[in-house]
Amino acid sequence: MRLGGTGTRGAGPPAPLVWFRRSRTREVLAAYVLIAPHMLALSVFTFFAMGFAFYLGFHRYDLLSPPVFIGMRNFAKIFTDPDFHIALRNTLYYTAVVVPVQTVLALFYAVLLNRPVRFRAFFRAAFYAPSVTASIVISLVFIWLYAKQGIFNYLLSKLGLPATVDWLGNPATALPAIMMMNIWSTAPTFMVVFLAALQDIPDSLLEAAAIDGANAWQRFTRVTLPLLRPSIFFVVVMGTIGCLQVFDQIYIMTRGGPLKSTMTINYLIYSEAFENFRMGYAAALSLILFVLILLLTVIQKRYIDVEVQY
Amino acid sequence: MFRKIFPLFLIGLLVGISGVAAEEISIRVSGWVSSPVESEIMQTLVDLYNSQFAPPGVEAVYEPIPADYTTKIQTMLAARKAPDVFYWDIFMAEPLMRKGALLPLDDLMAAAGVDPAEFVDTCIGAFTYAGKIYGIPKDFNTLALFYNKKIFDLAGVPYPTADWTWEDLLAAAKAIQAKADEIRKAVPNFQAALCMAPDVARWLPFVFQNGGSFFNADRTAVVINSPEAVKALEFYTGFELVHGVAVRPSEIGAGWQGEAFGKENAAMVMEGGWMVPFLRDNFPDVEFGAVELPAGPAGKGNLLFTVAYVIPAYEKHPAEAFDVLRFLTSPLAQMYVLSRGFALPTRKALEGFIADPISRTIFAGAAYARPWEFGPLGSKPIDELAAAMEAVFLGKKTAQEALDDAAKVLNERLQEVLSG
Repeated sequence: MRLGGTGTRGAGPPAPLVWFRRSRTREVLAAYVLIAPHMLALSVFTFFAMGFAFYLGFHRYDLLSPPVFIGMRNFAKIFTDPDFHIALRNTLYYTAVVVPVQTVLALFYAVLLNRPVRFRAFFRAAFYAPSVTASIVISLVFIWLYAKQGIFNYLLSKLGLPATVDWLGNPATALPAIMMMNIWSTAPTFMVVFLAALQDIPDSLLEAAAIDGANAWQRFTRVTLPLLRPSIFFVVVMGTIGCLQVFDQIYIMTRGGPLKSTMTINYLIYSEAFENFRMGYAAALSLILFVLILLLTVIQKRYIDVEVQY
Repeated sequence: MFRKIFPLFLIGLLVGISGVAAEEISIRVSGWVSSPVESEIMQTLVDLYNSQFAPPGVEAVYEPIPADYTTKIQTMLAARKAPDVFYWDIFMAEPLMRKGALLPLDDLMAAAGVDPAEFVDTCIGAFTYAGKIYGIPKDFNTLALFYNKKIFDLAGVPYPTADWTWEDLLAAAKAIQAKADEIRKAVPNFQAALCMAPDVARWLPFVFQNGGSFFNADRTAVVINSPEAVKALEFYTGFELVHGVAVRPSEIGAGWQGEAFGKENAAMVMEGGWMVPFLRDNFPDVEFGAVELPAGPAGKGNLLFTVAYVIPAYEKHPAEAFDVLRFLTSPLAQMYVLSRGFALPTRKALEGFIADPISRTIFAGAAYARPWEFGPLGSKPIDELAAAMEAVFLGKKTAQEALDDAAKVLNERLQEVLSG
């Protein structure tokens, strides 16, 4: 039994216990002092904001007059609000496409760059570049790429295809266009997660499988993939949360249009809060989004996050 | 000798004491910045006020807000950090006035001898709520039919006139479109006779010209799905969908109608006075004219866009803030803005100084224009009706369906606001 740093080697028998108590208090105190600045910021800007959003969800509040308690009226209104239905459908559609595609793409990148290819460091950096670029910058650049006389249409015309698609102006293509952009820019972030996980897989397991006669595909699906399960869970959960909260690209590129085809829940929250000044309604919407995220995460935990045994 | 100097000495002493005793009051003046010229004009006016008109101890400070103006001001009002004097757009006026967020100006105006009758009635009327005046309009605009003289000449069609009707507009557009190939030989960018966007601020005049309106008479219901309005939307979208004589800006890679006009994509657009400086700066070679909007079956109709200076309700220095506001809307300040070719004065007395024919056309529209506002609904109808127009342009809904849907949403919202 060892207590504290010098305890057992000390002279008197009761001394270590007292010292322990003191050092323990001091340690705890030090810990609190060290995390205090962050806790303070977190309390004010996150916990307080969350609590206030919960409070506002049951009130009518327009910033200028004091909040009025209206019970569940905001929530009742949400379920009959055609804009909410559109936003929910768009958000789920967006998530259902982006999460699987970006997860598979990230895994593909990672497997590719885990091999001893030439200029591997360069490729890793190049692939990762979109992830460290501000989404606002990417959005602004893609507005030009997606323009009617932009590069994508130029490339289409080079392939002899009709090149008059108004990518962001057509309700059929606007959301898919934003999806493609986000898959391209987010996949590399998750590639890094997979790369780290791939390097954690012991070579001995793969070698043993090879000796047992497993071919490369079997080694990947039967050994590598199951061992990646915790990372896949992480990537899917983080990807889902990110997708359900997609906002900045839409704010910059389409503002929810055309014909509300890119209206997502987060954009609806913004527009109700800061364009229509229905703070209570927007807070209620954000609580619904919170429940939706919680629900999906629990489901994913149930089906993907199974303990891995080596 | 002493007797002559003593009063001066006394005045000097008093001024000195008051200068020391009174705290320095700074009056923050904010507005958006539509172009660098606007901030330059504002800075010049504020500097002039400080050097010539400011009472001792008062200084005006210009703090422009470059983006998200409405959002920013409303959150600043909520946090009690709003500027002392700021621009406020007509379509957001009623939401703030009915919530009591703005300072009523009647008493201050009476004390300073500012008569509301000195201003264009529709302009000041738009900032009057429950019998009180909350803002003094700084300038205004209406819409006019802008036409490209070269394209009209090439097509051999006579220029539009102020007595045009809907039929004249359609006939001229068809005549121009028929000559499209010949026009393109001289004007390669030419696309269509008209450029018409799915924009409520361009379509609403057609509703008025057809005898329709946004609200019913006592403003308790939205009637934008009335037969008159539906017919107006069918007529508006028909230029493109039925007759093929109009394009939308997004179809031809233009940001807005004015840009399409500047690039000579279209022979005619309906836009406001802002076109004049825009074309002068960006497309100086385009020869254009402008006439009043064509009259519809129910006569003439137009929209009046205006912006007022307002003061927040909780202002700590109302007298000083109003003094700055009074200067910014004074004949002197408005003459200066007019001389820069920037905007039309809201003071009736200055009408005679509007020399430019296009500015006179814009001014003439004010006689029958209705204010660009949706009462307590603020900006909501703008988005909702734009979506309705887009649905019609894309063939997803008929005009009747689109306007029925929009009217339903807007009526629900109106009941919510009126009951709260």
